[in-house]
Amino acid sequence: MQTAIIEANNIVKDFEISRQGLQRKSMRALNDVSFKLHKGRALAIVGESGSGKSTVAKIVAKMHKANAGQVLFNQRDINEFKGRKAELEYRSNVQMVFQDPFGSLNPVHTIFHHVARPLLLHNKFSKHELRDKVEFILEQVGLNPASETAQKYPHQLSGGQRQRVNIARNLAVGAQVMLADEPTSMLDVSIRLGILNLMEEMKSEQDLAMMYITHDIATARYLAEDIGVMYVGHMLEWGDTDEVIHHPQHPYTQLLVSAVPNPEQSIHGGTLAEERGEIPLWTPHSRGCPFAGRCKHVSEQCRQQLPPVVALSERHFVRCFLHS
Amino acid sequence: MSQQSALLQVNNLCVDYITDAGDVRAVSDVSFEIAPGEVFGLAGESGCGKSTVAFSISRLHKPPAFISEGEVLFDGKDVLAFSDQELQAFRWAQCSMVFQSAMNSLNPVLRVEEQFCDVLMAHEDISRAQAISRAKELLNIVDIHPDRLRDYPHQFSGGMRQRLVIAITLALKPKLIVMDEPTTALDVVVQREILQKIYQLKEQFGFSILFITHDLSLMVEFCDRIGIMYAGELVEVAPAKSIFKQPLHPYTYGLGQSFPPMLGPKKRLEGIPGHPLNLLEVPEGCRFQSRCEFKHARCERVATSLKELQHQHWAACHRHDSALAPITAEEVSLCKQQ
Repeated sequence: MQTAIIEANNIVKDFEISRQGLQRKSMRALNDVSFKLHKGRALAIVGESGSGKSTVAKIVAKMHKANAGQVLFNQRDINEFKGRKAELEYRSNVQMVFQDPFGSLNPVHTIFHHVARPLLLHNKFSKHELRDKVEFILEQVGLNPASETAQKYPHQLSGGQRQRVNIARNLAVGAQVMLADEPTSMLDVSIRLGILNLMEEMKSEQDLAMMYITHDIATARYLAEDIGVMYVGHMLEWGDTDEVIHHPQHPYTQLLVSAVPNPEQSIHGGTLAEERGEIPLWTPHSRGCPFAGRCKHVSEQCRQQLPPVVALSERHFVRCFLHS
Repeated sequence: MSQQSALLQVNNLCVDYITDAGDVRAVSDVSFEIAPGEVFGLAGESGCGKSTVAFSISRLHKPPAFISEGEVLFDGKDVLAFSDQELQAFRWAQCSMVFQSAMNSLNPVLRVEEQFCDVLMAHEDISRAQAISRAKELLNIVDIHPDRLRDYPHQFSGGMRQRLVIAITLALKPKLIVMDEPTTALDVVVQREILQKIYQLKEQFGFSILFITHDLSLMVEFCDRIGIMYAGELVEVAPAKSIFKQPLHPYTYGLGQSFPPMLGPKKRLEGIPGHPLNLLEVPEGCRFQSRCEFKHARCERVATSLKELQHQHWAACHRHDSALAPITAEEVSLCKQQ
């Protein structure tokens, strides 16, 4: 496989949650998270709310700074991109698509403005070229007729169309990496697939590297070649999507996959094989496996130290003592 | 489709919203019934009127929404004709409701105990001590320790708050519980836990459920029968498995195709082209025509109505006027090429 365009190694991120005098309390949002993004491939990050999946994207987008570990873009540490010019260069390559298409566009500007601005910020165009370029990009994301759409304001577009505008802005700067944070979760069901198909096209035709953050495992399987399962700031299992979903090895992944609605079965039968437990708050002093409190295979070792990463095959990794 | 035994019967219900831009018929001529102990689902996209139907059942609409036509029969009695007093006795005691984002519907400044006592003492002539002991029983039912009655809502996790809300809806032993997207804000693992709990309680107490969600996969798994709504109309009603396996309305088929499968080969799915209908611009004829692969001349002129095409399987589509023809993937791709 070609070298990764984004490589994250052992990222740790703490957030301060309270401060009393000199005492500061913090929580560990990410602990020892590593992954790679490749051109023309998508990595899906799945997990429950609060598992740290958005934090991963925000660190790669340089919206947060990691406390430890390192993120490489084309083999270069992203912290080396300093100063206006270097930052611009980095951001033109790495772009985000946010969850809320209703909040992420400025209501007082036209669609033309939204797509033209990133173009002007990163390139120089004459007025005439600019109009052509904007319309070309809008057509690429399926907003036809483009000249008409360009004149509209965000409130005149539906949620799906607005999300397409957001994707168009990624295209406008010529991004090589797209970080999509739950891009479809606020859209109507019948519209979601259109956006996923557009992302799929951009991935294969524009050779984009993609991170797709979602809580919907079925769409993760639809779009992504690789998947990472996160729980309380830890990546517990990752690898080839079908392999992880169909042969989950970590007890948490097994629980998660068994909970996905499946019209082939009926809820009337069986119950979840799980003892109830609370999702823990992870702090820098927490020890052991984050899932230990809810795991039915838990042993003393699990409560004492973080399990090591075990490679089950070339493309399937799990962090669990059951496999070490 | 009237049955003597039905617990809830909704006949030709129409709900209008009076807006500045014009009157919008959010629910148009919707009829269905729910039998005792049955789980009936209403599915559809946002804005299709499914929540509006739910609100109509206990007459919760406030202006600018008005129930303009139709009747809602609960145990044979017309809910729309109830006096204020009858309505008060009917709400919660006969038919309770779990609202969308229900976990936020608990009052954050009152102890949970207070919120249980409020419901119990408003409807039943019991002392506070009796109410508290009832509340403890209810907490036990939903697997929350009775000692936590003195806690505030923020001390519970999202899933526990949802179970608290369910315990409150059960407080007066209603015959029908309306659940409007009860689990949308929850994670899949918690969602499954809650739904299994609800099902178990349903078996135990024998109430009926009107279940509303946009997640068709979840609905097929949970419901006995399902009604699919599009742009204010009920377009298909059938047992859950036949909705999933043999949809007769193109919209139902498209909705089924909007959820990627967990198993089997990966193939490109198309969803449904176009955008949901703006109810201010309802066309003549079928409401789904602009997004339909099977549109023909008749669809543009003649409005559709629900017909029983198979046993217990109703659909509103001109496609089946001459002969019954279930929708297949081959046919859809054929239509696209034309």
